[in-house]
Amino acid sequence: MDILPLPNGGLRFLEMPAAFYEQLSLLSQTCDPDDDPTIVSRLYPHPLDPSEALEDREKAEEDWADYVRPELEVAFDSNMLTVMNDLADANIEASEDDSDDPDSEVYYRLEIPNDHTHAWLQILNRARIVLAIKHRLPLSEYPLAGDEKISLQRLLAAHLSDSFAEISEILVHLMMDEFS
Amino acid sequence: MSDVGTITAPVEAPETKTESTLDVPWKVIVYNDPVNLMSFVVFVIRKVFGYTDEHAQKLMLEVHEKGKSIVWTGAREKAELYVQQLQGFQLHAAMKRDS
Repeated sequence: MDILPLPNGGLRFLEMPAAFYEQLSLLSQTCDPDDDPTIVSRLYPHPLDPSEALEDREKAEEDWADYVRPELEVAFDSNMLTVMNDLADANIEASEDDSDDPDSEVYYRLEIPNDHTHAWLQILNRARIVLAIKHRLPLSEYPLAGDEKISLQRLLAAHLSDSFAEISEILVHLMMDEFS
Repeated sequence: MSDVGTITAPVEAPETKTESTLDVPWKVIVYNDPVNLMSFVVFVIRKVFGYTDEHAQKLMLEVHEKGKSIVWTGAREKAELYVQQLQGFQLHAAMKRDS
């Protein structure tokens, strides 16, 4: 897979393997906290520092849940829609070597327009947060101990999170240009 | 009969707890989260507060090394807006009264 910057900002992915495209297509599920209270409280943290009085914290949290969290959720939904639309617009491209072979692997060509980079960055970051909590990543911080196992599912989650981090780094690098 | 021409002593409004509380500045705090990329944190701080790259890098390193950093201090209403924006980028952010 090649990742190239677009002339007017944004990114183009060439020869994206179908398996990776499918993982991106599952971002909506990947980002879903599944009502896990740890994930929910990380995605929507309390607005007041724990040092503030409990009474004030409770009131602020109530207001935050009523007025701010819905706005954050709307923003997330809007970003996810942008990402899903970009994925839906991706084109299938055959590998040059095996274009006549019906069993050849399918590749995708995906473009992230400049004005969609914010949405992608936020969605990929949220996906990494959810993956980290759900699968106790990074694996290096959870060495094998006792009967703890590193399952294939956790290994795949770590790999996926690393891939999302790499893309995020490229996006951040591109987006820093907006400050110059 | 009209009161025109009379001088009335100004009545001083009693100082209330609410007013004094509103006057207290609030700190916006960003807490460390090992998942968020360092470059991402710098980007978000620059985006939300308009800081220079150098200042944003300094704050990010403080978050990373000390576990948290006070990234802004000011009126509560604005602090709430900043916390909302930071949380919108999934940074772990909250606010507290400046003591």
